[in-house]
Amino acid sequence: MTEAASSPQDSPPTVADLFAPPGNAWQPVSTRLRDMHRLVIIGVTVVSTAAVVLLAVMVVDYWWLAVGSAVAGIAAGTWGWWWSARSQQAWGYAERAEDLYIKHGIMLRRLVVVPYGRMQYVDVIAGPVHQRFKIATVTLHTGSPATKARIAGLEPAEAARLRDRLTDLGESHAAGL
Amino acid sequence: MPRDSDDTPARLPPRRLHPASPFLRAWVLFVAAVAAGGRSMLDSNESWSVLAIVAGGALVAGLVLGLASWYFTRYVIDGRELRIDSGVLVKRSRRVPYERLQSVDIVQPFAARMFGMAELKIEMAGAGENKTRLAFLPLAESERLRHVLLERAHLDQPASDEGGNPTGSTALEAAEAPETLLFRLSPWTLTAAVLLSTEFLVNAVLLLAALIVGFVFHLLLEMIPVIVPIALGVVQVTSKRYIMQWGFELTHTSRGLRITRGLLSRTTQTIPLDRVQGIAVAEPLLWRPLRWSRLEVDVAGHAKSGDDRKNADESTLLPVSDRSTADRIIAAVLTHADLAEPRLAGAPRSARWLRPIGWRYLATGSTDQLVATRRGWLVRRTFLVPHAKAQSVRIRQGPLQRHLGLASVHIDIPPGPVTAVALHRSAAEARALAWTEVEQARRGRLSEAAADARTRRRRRSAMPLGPR
Repeated sequence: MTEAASSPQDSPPTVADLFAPPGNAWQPVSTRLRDMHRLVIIGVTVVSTAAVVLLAVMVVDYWWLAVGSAVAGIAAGTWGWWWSARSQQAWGYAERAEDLYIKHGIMLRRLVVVPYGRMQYVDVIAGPVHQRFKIATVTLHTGSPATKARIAGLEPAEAARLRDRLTDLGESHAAGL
Repeated sequence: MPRDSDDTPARLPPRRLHPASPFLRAWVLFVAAVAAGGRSMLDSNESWSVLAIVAGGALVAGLVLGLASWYFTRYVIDGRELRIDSGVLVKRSRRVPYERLQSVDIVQPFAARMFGMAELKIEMAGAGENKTRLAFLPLAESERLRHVLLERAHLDQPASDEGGNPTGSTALEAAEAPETLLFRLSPWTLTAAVLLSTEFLVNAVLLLAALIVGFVFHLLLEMIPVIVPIALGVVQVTSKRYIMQWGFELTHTSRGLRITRGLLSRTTQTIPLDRVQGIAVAEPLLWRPLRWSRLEVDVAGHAKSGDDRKNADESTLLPVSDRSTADRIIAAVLTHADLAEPRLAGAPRSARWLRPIGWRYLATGSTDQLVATRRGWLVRRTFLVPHAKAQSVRIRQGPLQRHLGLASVHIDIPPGPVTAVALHRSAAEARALAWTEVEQARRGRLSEAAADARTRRRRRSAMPLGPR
C-alpha cells in the first residue's frame, strides 16, 4: 500500500502484450478481495486520522495540523479505494492443459507459469479477516522457493476446487526435481 | 572395528563408532587444559591455575559424557535402512531408509585426520533435517560404509526381497565403473588464481593505499587501526582459499562426480549427476585474459536456506581451470545436454538507464537443451540451466522497466549458486522467451522422464523434497 506515491501510468501496448493471457482470458478473482482491502484501508485511515485530529485539536491546539491530517486522511482513503479495485483487477489466473498461469501487481507486474508436474504441495490459507469476507489464498509450492505462485481472493468453493484439481494434476504429471 | 566381515550381508550386527571418537571430539578442551596447566606450572599465577582447573574439569566431564554417548551409540545396516541408536538418557533411533538417501560425504577434520579417522555425513531427502553424522570411523571403514550405502541406495528395488540378500550386491560391485580423475588442482594454479581473484586484489589495493598514505604523511602509527584489519582481510581471503581448495580433485565415478578437497581437513563429497539443476560459470575480471573460470553447481537438496556461506564451498565444482577443462566438465555434468555453445544476445540499449555499466554484460540465449543467462562486470557469471530442470518461469516488470519497455524473465530452480534471470529484455522478447521456455521445459521433462523409464532409474519424485 505504500507504493502509492505516484499513480501507475496507463499500460502502453507492449505491456498489454507482455501480460496477455495464454488462452482466452484471465480468470478474475473475487471482488470481495477489493471490498476487504477497502474496509481495512479505510478503517486504518479513519482511526489514525481521527487520532491525529483529536490530538491536534485537544492537546496541542494546532488547527492547521488537524485540517492537514484530515485532508491527508481523505486523500489516503480515496487512493486506497481506487487501489483496492485496481489491485483486484490485476489478479488473474489461467488453467491450461499443462501449466497454471498467474499474474498480479499494478506497479510491479508479475506473471508466473508453473507446470503442474512441478508442484510439490498446495496451501489454502484464509485469515480471520479473509474468512469474514469469504475469500481464501491458494499458494503453490515447487522445488524452488522463488516460484511465488499465489492466488489471492478466491471464493472458498473455487479455492477448494482449484486445490483438488491442482493436486490431481500434480500427481498425474509428477516430475519432481 | 570388525573389518573382517564380508562386504554386504543383509544384516550386520550393531556396531559402535571408533573408541577414540570422544577424545577426538574433545581435543580442543584437551589442548586448552594442557596449555593452561603448563602456564600455571611456569608462572605460579592464580588465574592460570584456576583456568587449568576449569579446563581440566570441563575436559573430564566432556570425556565422561563423550564416552557414555559413544557407549550407547550403535549403527545397524540392514536390508532396507541404516539405523543409528544413540542417547544416554533419552534414547534416539534415527532411521535412514536407503531410498531416501541423498548423499554421503566423508569429512576428515584436522584432528581426526591425524589419526586416520573420518566422519560420515549422510543426507536424506526430506523436510530440511540436519545431516546425520557418524563420527568417527577409521577412514577405510567409512569409505566402505559409504560404498555400501550408495550401492543400496541405487538398487532398483531396495526392499524387494525382504530379509534376504539385497539383490546381487556382489555383482553390482564387480560392475562398478572404473574411476577416472577428471581434474586435479595444482598448487601453482591455486596460487595464481588467488592472486588474480577480485577479492584479493581489492583488499591488496586498499592495503597498499593505506601503507602509501602512512609513509607519505608519516602517519604509520595512526594508520594501524586501518591497516591491520585490511591486512587481516588479505590473509583471510587467501588462507580460506588455500584451506578449502588445496589439493582439489574431481573424479568421475559410477555414482556421479566425487570431489575431494581441503588442506587441513579433507572433505569428500559426491555430486549425483541426475540431481544437478544448473551450473554457474564465474569469470573474475583478471581471469578473463587467461580464459580461466570457476564452476559452481546447483544440486537439489544441497542448499538449505540460511547457511549460504557454508554452501559456497560445497557447491564449488571446479575452483579454477582453463576453458577446455571447464567445457569438458560441463559436458560431463549436463550429460544429455548438447553443448552447442548457446548464442547469447545482449540486452537492449535502453537497459543502460537501469544498469549504467552492467547492461553491456547482460546476455541471454538458449539451445534445444538449456537456457543460458549472463551478467556481471567484475565477475562475469554465466548460468546454464537445462530446460528439463526449470521449476517455473516468471516475468517481472517494475515501473521503470515498463517505462523503458523492458521486462525480466526468471527461470526458477531450487536454491543454490545458479540464479538464471534474463534481466532487462525488451518486452516482446521477454514474452517470447518465457513462452518458449515453458514449452521447452515441458519437452525436456518429458524426454527426461522417458529416459528415466528406459533406464528404470528409481524416480525421486515418488518422494517430493518438501518445502525449502
